[in-house]
Amino acid sequence: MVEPDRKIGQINPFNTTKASHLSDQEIEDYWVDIASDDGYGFLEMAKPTSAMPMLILGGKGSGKTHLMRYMSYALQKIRYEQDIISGIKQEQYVGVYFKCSGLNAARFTGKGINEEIWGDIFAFFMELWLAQIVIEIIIDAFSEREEFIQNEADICNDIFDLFDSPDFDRPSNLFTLTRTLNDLQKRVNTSVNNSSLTRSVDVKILVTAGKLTFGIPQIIVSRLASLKAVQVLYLVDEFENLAEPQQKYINTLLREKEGPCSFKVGSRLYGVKTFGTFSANEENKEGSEYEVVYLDANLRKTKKSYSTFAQRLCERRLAEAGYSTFDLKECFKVIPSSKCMEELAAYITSDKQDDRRPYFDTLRKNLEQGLRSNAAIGVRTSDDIDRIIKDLQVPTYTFLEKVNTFLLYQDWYSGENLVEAAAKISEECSHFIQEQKSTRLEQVLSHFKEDLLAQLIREYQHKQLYLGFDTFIDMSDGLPRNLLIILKHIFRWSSFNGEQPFQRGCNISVESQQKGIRDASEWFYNDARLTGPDSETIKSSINRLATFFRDVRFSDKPSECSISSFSADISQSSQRARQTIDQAEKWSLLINIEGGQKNRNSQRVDPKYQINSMLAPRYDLPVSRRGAIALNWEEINAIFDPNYVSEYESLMRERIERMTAPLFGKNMQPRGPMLPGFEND
Amino acid sequence: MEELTEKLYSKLLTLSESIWEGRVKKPQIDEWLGNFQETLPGVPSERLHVLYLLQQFMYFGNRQIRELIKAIYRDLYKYPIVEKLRKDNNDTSDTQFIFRAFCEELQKTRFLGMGNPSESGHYLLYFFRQENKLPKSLFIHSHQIFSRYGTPTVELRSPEVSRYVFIDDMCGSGTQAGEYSEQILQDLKKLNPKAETAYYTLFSTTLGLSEVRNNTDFDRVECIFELDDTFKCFSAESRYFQPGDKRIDPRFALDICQRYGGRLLPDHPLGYKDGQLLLGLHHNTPDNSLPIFWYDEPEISPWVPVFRRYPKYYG
Repeated sequence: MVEPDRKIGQINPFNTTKASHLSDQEIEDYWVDIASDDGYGFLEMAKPTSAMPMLILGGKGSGKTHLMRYMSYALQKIRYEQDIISGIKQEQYVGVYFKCSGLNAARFTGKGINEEIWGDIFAFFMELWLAQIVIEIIIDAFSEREEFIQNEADICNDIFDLFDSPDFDRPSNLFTLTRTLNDLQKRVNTSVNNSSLTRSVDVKILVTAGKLTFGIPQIIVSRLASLKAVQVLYLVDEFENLAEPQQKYINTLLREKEGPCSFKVGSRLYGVKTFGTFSANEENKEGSEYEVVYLDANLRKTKKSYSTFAQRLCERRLAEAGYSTFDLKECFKVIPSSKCMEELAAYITSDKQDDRRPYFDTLRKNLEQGLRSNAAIGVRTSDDIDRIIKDLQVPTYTFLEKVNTFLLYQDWYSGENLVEAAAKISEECSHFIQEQKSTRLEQVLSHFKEDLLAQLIREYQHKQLYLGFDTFIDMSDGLPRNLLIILKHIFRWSSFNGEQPFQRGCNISVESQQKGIRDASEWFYNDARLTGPDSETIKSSINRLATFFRDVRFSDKPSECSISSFSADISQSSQRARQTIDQAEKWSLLINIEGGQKNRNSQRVDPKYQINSMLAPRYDLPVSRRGAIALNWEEINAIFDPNYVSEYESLMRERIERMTAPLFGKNMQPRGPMLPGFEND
Repeated sequence: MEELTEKLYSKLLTLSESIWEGRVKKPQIDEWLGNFQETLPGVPSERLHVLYLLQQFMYFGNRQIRELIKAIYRDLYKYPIVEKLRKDNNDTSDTQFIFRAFCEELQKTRFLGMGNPSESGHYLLYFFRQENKLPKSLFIHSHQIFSRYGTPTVELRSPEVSRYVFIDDMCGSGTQAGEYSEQILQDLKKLNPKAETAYYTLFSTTLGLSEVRNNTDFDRVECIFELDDTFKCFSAESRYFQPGDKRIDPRFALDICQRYGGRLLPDHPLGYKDGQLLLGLHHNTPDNSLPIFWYDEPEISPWVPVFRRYPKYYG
């Protein structure tokens, strides 16, 4: 009786995060459709019955494999356990799923053999392979049925006739045929595998490319009445694992597609190396030969639907692992938000022995420097500094003191008399507390609350807080696997910390969430495992960009709130910089924000990119996207082009200085005689 | 310091959820750390140092112990016999012959646990029989070696037995094997000088091995995992302290272990006979390991262990 509970605590329900590691049954069990008011789910997105081929593109962990396997025959069989034929008829397609990674496609190249020959060999190999998969599905689905028994010999004959020059006997049944095809494939394999030694490939090509791929489905559909009006849907997963000429072969199949066949090709964003074909070297065109679904972009588009989907995905995982269902938001301890953020202030000051206010220490230092540099209007003596700080003090509300300090920096930047400004802030703060009338504090908090909290947390030497289920959904940003990874790591820490994660009554602690989220972020950064010569450039560029964002966020007067995005007229930047941005986007380190950003000066719409929120904890950045900083082409080059990196430090310093007291980027002359004790910096 | 502490906890998390079988989690670790002085700014941290030692602790879980038990039978018992059988028969490769001859040898063998029936040697025998699929008849207690009933003199109960194999988990100093040699082997050898006696353990210190080999009547003394001086925590060759990390001071770590270990076990502050091991097994922690990890006799000295040892109570 106690056993199930013991098991619950021991097994991490989020351990498996890759669809390729799941069994067919698990694919079915963990399947959750995206919730949408208009009934637009994943299958509506993927359109398995559409004759138009489709590229399903998405970042790593966007759910491509899960979706494609869900459409496969193996899953159809689970869905229609009682009567698979009825199921296929109902769904109007049969899914022929295969992964390009299983091909070991790198074998079909080099070794002193002409690439054209490799192209033909690969096409022949694929014909044999796909033919076997299709025939095996038919045997599995129909072998007991009368219409199959009666037509099997004819089907065999028809398939045999597809071969131009068969060097094997006419098969009597489909089972024998698959064995023959398998033997032929083995012969190709043996020859290809030995080609590095023999420097030749001894293969006789027995069938024209495409003949079996399209011909077998045509024969089957015409011979088996049950399959009338059913589409044979080739589900080509992990397309990125094919080399360019091999992708050309698949592209050619897409272009020359014949009924009743169609294709769904799944690939990472960076995975499509060519749109070229062998059909007179024509290129496939979107809208004409294929359509595209950007899976994660689609998920990002509808935040509410994604949020519901993500929640249901996790609930399903927990339910399958034996956990009872309840509101996931209740599983995580959060620090409640309030007008004056008393609970957060208590949290960050709880381990402090003294009553020191770090933001006032910094302000005092800045005012003293300002006094020396003649850069603090209204500040003439050290008494003025004391007076300013006294006016900003609200001893019971640490957070309001921080807000007041920020307001003073704003006034300082605007060239106000700081003594007068502090007095006014003090008055406004009283009104704010007493809720008497609208004040600047409300305006500032509506934009900068998260940043000021982040600054406060940092000033009290705590780690930034990324807490609560909603935050984790935001961080995953259209890539469901990232959410599972986050929960996997949080579960590990929570369990290690002696908690009972996801069990009723357990609130996963702040510490477990913090540690889990940091591990997930590190995993994301390291797991990116960029390949190719540009990998270091991309990683360094992301480091530079994130460091710049962090410096903005923790400056005295950030120019933008919740900074994690930039906009720029990229066309003006170097080709290398553009290339790096493009690669970073394809590796999901940068997210292209649909709609871009209108340039404040020119009204031109510039592309806008957000740094992936999974990286936020690594650089203390916000998860939510609000402000976007406009970068000019010089800055873009300095960040993304290794040839201009030497300019990064000075350009960014110049930017940050504009947000830093006492000078805010202005050149000021030191005043004449200095007060004693203020002579030196 | 905080960064190192975090790093150590990250490693402890991985150890806990994998090798440590989830038996030691953070609350237990923190409770154990409570034995040591609280970390104060500006002074070396006792807790950081013992945390550092903890993440080096070698724990062998149930699965690993079972694998080692298989290895004792296969590598120390079976293979040498097979090797000798082949050698005595012109290096024959006749597998059927070898199998039959080995089975005959096996029938003339008795396996025994070292120590009292309540001790770990006998506990291991159960798994030894299970894992190696051996019949119960091959296992006896040490008193079953001899027959003392109905005859005025001591006789061997099964004169046809030619091989006695004693199994234990750990040979630290070799003391127990020495006692067995005196109490049992001398009589046994008098009655059957040709009987082969073997002492096989999962773990043994180099010192223990040498002691038993040189000063007892066992014909064969072997272990699966030999713990040389690099496994001695504070030896000059210790594998546990990497040069260059200034945050961890081996001398300070030694001072902590001696100071607290001295309070717990005044005669053996660094483990029985100065064992200094960082070793724990699924069923118990050897007393040759540092007592700060395992000491659990609150009525004598209040202490919270992290890998508790179930002490032997001699009545």
